[in-house]
Amino acid sequence: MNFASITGWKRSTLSAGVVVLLLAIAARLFDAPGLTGSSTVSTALGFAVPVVLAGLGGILAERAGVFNIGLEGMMIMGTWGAGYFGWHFGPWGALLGGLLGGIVGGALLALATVTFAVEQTVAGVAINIGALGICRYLAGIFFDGKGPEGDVGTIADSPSVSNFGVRFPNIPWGKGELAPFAGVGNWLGEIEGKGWFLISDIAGIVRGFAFDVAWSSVLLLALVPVVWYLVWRTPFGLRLRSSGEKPAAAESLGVNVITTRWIALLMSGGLAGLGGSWLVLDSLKYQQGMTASRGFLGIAAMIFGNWMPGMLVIGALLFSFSQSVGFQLGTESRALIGAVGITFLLSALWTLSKRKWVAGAIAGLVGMGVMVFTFANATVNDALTKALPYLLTLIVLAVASKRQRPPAASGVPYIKGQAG
Amino acid sequence: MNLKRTLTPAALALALAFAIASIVLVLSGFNPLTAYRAMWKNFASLDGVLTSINVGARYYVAAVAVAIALKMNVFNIGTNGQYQLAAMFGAVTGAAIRLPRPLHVAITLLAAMAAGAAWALIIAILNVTRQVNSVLSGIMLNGIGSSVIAYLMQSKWTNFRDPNKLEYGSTRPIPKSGQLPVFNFGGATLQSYVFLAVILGIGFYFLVYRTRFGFELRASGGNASAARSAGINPKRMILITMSMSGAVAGLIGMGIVLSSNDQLTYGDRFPGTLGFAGIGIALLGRNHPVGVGAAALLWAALDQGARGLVTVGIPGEVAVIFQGALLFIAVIVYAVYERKTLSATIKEAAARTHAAAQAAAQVADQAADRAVTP
Repeated sequence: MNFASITGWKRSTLSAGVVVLLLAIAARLFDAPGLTGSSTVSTALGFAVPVVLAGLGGILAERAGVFNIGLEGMMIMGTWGAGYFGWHFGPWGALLGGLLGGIVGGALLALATVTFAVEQTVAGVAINIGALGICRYLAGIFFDGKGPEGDVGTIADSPSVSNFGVRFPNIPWGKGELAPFAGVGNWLGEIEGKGWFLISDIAGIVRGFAFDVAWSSVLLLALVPVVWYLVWRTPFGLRLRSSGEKPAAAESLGVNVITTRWIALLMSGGLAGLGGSWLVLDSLKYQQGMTASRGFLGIAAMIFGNWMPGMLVIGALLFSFSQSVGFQLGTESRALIGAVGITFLLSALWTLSKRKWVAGAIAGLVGMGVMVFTFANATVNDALTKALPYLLTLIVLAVASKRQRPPAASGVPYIKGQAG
Repeated sequence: MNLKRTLTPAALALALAFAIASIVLVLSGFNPLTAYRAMWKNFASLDGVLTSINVGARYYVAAVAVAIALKMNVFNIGTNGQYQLAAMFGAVTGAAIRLPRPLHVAITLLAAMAAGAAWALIIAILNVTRQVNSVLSGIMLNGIGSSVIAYLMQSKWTNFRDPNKLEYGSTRPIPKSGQLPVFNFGGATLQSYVFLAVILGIGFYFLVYRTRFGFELRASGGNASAARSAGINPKRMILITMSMSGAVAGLIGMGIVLSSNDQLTYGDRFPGTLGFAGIGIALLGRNHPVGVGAAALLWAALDQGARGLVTVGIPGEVAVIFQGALLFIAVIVYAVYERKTLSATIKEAAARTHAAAQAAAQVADQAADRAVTP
């Protein structure tokens, strides 16, 4: 069997299945049922949303030919917009505000990289630095000392923002909950409590994904298929991708590369900004520094997902899951580290079976080292738990980066008329 | 370096940034003149200027670290993690050893540089062997770095923490022989770390513009494939450049650790964002040792001036807006100006080639005429 020949949704499903099996084994082996518990999964799903949105923004930008390292800054601007509009106009205002804030960031990047053909990484880094300053200034003017009594904002956080209130499958507008759903949820909860190998684990994971989900997550995750459809099934998507693969050829066929890239970057920024909205609706206010590198994690997830939305979601879940596990007890983190060790050992066997001796030996040694660490420690230090998402991201990038194929013209400034 | 070509875009960017900051101030309901006067007043004193120079030196080192890597188009965005780890290791080393003054300081600085270089080398190795984007690995290593610091600071096994300081985590104090001297001018102080930064800048200049390695560095940054066919090994260049960048980054925080009017330890209250400022300053100064110096002083002077804004009731973040706007405009102006001058140069060269070709054709014609007529 050749994994590389399996593509698209089949590959996503297969990867997800393997991960679930691994987690179930680790949860049993290290006696940490919380690893596959619904609360861990539910938190992970939430944490994944801003990362997924940043990644979607990254896909749109890069498929159009612009490497958007400024997603972090755009998300920061989104958090400010969501804080301001959310405070005044409620949850829908927060979504709109995040969108607008992100679009402003996207417009700045488009102005620099598309109109003036500035080197893309330089412009993106400049936006990340500038966004921090802009939001601090705006927070100083619009939040500091403002707001109702007992809920006064400061330079570091806004007055409270209200959320949608109820969570899926309860419906915020009118009818209460979707009745048959609630029954299934309770039933899954019962199975989760039984402690059956794999079955209880799957029940916990499904329950975490489909029940008690914030409405902001539901609404924003619905954008994944929307972006996929837009980029891969519409005429605009075709123009967008051709601008990112071979802009000179696209222009010779009548595609306006400059306009296409502008639109792509506005949407890219808007998506990252919506990621900021999610953060604000989750924390119920704007806080300085609340993005915590999620824009960059989104880019990493996008690279892991080979610039495709489906695998991007899996990559984002991987990171957010490790983050979510960190909020559980130390035993769960230990089990997750154990799962990483098992993964290394399995991939070592896989590599050795392909007669790649050096790579296999390295993976095997790392895996054994991780397993020794896991068995030697009954619980994991809090500081190391916090590093786990970043560490896993780094490992995933190290494994995935080499085989991936970015859009051909991504990162190359395009000046109109290159087609001649 | 053509002075006019360098100064024109910088002046243009500065003017535009001033305009934007003024507009922002007016839109926020403040008088820009009041703001600028208050900033100037807080800067234009012996203490204000010397503080700007002291802080500017840190920014300068932070920017040089980034500029070394940018000279060959590699982003070291991980300086934030590198300098904090390095400051911790430097502080621990400085507190642990007992040696005569210059040697004590030198070994402390070397320990910090080694720590910074080691942390940066991870980025380079991942990039060279696994093609991991250096910006992403840099960000991840910043996140991991703060966890590593927290772990090492609280671990009983390493014993880095000063047991006498309970209110917040801090390393043990560094004895007198391990400190960098500080010059006192009637209350205002100048840290000798400033001279270290100047020496570093001169070294950076000679390395990049006067050595073979510097030539290879700039060649790889200018045209990677041409450099490769000229026999320059790009992987080796990335490994060397990144470790140098990390070693310099290791010095960013050492002015704070080793100068006695600051804290003399590494601890929870250590500043954590000098690395990001350094990236902006390197881009603003176009990675040139002199340009970066001017940018670092400007950045620090804006910081210093901003502290005076409180007295007139204007948020000090005006300086941050100004810095952000300046950086953003500068990268645009530099790119556009460079392309304009480049196309002018190309046109000029083309015209000259054309004229030369015509002259050559004329000579050939004449020669042919002469050859025909006996």
